[in-house]
This record gives sequence, structure tokens and C-alpha cells, in this order.
Amino acid sequence: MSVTTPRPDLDTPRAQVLLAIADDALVTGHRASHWTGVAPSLEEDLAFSTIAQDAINHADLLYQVLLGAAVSGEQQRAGVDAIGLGREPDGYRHAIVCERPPIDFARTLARHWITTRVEVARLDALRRSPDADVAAVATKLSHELRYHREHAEHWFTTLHTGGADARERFHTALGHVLPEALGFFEPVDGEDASAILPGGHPGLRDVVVDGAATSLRAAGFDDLVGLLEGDLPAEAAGGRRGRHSQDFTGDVWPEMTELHRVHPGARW
Amino acid sequence: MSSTMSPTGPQHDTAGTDPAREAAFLEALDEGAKVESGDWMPDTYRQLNIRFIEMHANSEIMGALPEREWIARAPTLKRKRSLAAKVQDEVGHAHLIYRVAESLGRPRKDMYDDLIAGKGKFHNVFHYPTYSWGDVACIGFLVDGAAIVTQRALLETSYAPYVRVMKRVVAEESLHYRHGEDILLALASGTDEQFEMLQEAVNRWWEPIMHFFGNDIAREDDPSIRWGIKTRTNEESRQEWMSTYVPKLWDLGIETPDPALRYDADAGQWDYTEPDWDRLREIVKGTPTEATASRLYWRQLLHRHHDWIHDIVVGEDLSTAA
Repeated sequence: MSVTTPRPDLDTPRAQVLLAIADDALVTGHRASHWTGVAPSLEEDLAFSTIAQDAINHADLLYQVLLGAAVSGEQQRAGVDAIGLGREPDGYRHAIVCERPPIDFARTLARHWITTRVEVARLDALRRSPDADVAAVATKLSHELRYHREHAEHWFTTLHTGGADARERFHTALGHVLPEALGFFEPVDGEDASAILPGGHPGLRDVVVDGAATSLRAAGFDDLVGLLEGDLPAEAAGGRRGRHSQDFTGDVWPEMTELHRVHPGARW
Repeated sequence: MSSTMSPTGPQHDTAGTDPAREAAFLEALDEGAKVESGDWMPDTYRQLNIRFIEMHANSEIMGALPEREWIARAPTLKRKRSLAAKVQDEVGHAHLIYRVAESLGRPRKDMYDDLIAGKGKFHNVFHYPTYSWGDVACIGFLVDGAAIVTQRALLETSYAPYVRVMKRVVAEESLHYRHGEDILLALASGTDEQFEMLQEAVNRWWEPIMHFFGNDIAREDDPSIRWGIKTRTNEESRQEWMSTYVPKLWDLGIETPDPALRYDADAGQWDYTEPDWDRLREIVKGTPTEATASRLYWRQLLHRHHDWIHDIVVGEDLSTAA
């Protein structure tokens, strides 16, 4: 049975913003699944497996919004996979920080902490989107994100109060992650004209930085606050325009998309 | 033991080597008695159960590793999620089952440390490399199908804590089986290349699965049966698996690589070519395969890098997670 794969126009400002949000989730989920089966504790094995599944599902739902309500069933699945796994590397709009390898659990938890804060702030904005389809999905996803937020904040506290060694490791990890996380706030092309994310990606920066800075100061990590107020390092810039690092073009992308690419049109 | 046998006091009152008590214990097992962790039990019973249950838990962990290699490479977003969910379940099962072995006196940490040090035993089927999405189908359908056959039989095992855990495990495994069947059906009804991918994988997995059930040991010679761990012989399980799964493969046009394989309706059993049992011994007890050595290497590395996490979580090594 052959299914026509729907190919929506991905070049509109609306599509570009949706891709940025969905691709952040897809690549975050892909990297989170690294821990499935090998995390340092049972609880975290289960937690990161759940985060992976939820994040990939969020991406899926947003790709469905891109396809539109008229596309359903097999066609919808084919369309979702064509968008999620069928683009060239420069077609992906996620922030470069998402594509970095997990490195170790401290780095993973540091990224998880700031990423979750960005997602919460972004979904809050999207729930007020004038685009009804987007607002509806954002409301649905916000509920799930509550648990990830609690998990991320729990680890923030555990690590900064967990003794000198853990504190030092987490401090170092945040030092690596926070500057690159500013890439979340880069605008996609035409974002000013798009009404679907009120305030746009740049508009999220103040909200996220205010909240994160308060937590960092309370943890005695005052020296890290400046990183959030500084500039995005050049090597982590450009994700929203499709410029990605070797971590994506040479690692995530080939592995994630190979089967889809090698067997065009196949159903799995 | 349960009400079919009189209470015999705490386990450490008497060493588990009293011949008279042992005879009474065996008699009670024959009558279907169930054993609780605080009951008196012969040393042999304890050790056999630990060995069996530890191997089962180890297998859940090592079974998660070949499949997790495909989460990143899954061909659709739906498969990516469902495979992550399945592997997540396996890790959960390992922990439930380790706790059962722990209730018999073997510390979880020791079992886990032995496993990642390469000293733990686990099922032969998890020693093999994976090459294609066809392997994911075979693990999900054929290997999980075989596991369901042996795990369902464990619902009748004599150690009651094991039975309680297996009730939950078997329920989840049935979902895994459907996940595997779904992947298999998609490949079987897909493009020629997909079908070929599946056929090649079935050819690769055939012998490991025939090995999986173990060689044919007469009921009276199998200590696991004598001591109430297993209720069925290896051959009975293999026959049940063939009756359930071989016709499904044939219906889909998939060839089974054993030319001698056929159902003998008169005898009511399957004829097949005896697999090479020396090869099984080599896989399970010999030098680790390259796939196992590499999986354990990465597991050890990740473990060493995260001692600090275990320390802060509970102030002790929590490393039982796979």
C-alpha cells in the first residue's frame, strides 16, 4: 500500500517557529535516550527514558500541527517522519546546545535544568498564542512538563547541596552549558512577523534568565549569572538558521535519519 | 512455606543441611507448597534459586543493551518512542528480579558488580551483535516470544516472591511481544529490501533461539525441576515455542533455516536439527563475544564515571541500574 507523503511548506515564518520548537524537543529526546539502559541509577534510567519519550512525542505533536488537521492516519505518520527524519542537516532549527553529546551525568543534568526552564517559559507563551492549534497543543504539553521541571529542580538542589565534589562537578557543567543555552533565544527567520510565539524566542530570554539567575544566586553560584547575561559563543550560534556543529551533522543526524533516508517511502 | 507446611522458624536457626527437614521440604514442594523468604529452606534450594534468578535479572539488563543501540536509529518517531519504552521496562524488570534474589541473601550490589565485571551469567541470546532493524524485529518477536514461554512457566515456580514479581513481568512482556510482532509484520509486508532484512535476521537468530531453551534434560535429571524452580523441561518449552511461533513465520512467507524442521502430527511434536551445544557452552561460559565485551566495556566506563552520583543519592553505591 502506498501512502502519499504530505509535504507542507516549511519556509513560512509560522513553520519555521514550529520547527524550532519541535526540533529542540526532538534532538533533546534523542540525546536523552542515550541514558536508557545505562544511567547511573534505576530512577534516572527510568526518568531519562521517560523524558526521551515525552520529548520525542512533543516534537511529533508539533509536526502534526505543521501538517494540519486535515492530514490523519497513515498519511500523518508518513508526514511526521518526513519532517522529523527526512530533512537535510541544515533544515533543522534546534539550538546547538541540544545536539551536544551527554558527556556525563553532571553535564546532562545541567542541560536538563536550563532546557526545561526554557521549555516551560516557551509553553507559557505559546498557551497565549493567537494560533488556536498551537495554543491547544501547548496547553496539553504544559501538564507533562511539570514533572520534568520538578525532576530538573530536584537535581539542581541535590547537586549543589550534595557535597563539595558534586557541587564542583555541577558548577563546571553549568559553566559549559549556560553560555551555549543562549542559543535558545536566537530568532528564526521572519520570527518578528510571526504571531504564533508571543514575544518570539528573543522575548523568552528575560523570563528565563531572571528565574535561572535567582536560583543560581540562591545556590551560591553567583559567578555563573554573568554567563546568562553575556553573549552566545560563536560556536553555539546559528542553530535557528540551520547551522549545526559536527555533533549534529556528523553524529545525531546520520544516526537518527539513516534508516529513513536509505529506504525512501518504506513503512516501518 | 505457606499453609501447606508447618512453620519452621527463622531461616538462620538451623543450617539448611538437615537431611530430615530437607526430605520434608521436598515432599512439600511435590505437593505444590510455596516458599517465602523467611521460611527455612535447604541450602541447595537457596543456591539453585539464587543462581537461576540472578541469571534472569542479569539477562534483563544485558537484554536491554542490544535493543537500546537501536533507539537512536529507529526508522520512525513512533518506533523510537516505543523502543525506548520497552527498554525502560526491561531495566525495571531487572530491578524487580534482583530484589527477589536479594531476598534469598545475595546482595544486589554483588550481582551487579559481577555482571559488569564480566563474571555474571546471562542468557545466550544477549551475547550477539545486532546488524539491522531486522534484529530488532527478531529480538522483539522471536526472543521475547521465547522469553514469554519460559517466564509464563515461572508463574508456577515454588518461590513465592518470584511468582509475585513474575505476574507483573509477564503482563508487561505480553505488550513487548505485540510491539515485536508489529515490527515484524511491518517488515514482512514492506519492501523487498525490508523483507530480506527480516529473513537475514531470522537466519541469524535461529540457532541462538534453539539454544535459548537449553539442551533436552530428562525431567528426573533436571535439578531445577526437582527443586521446584521450573515445572517444565527444556524440551517442553522449546516445543511450545515452535508450536506458537514457527507457523506464524511460515504464514508470513519467512523461511526457517533448518531444513529438517517439520511438525510430526502423529508424534505430536516438532522435529528439528539438533543445534550445536558446544557452541552454546562456548557462548555462555567461554570468552565473551565481541558484542558482550564491548557492551560491558562501555557499561564499566559509565559506571566508573558516576561513582560520585551514587554517593550523593543514597550515600552508597546504587549501581544496580542497568
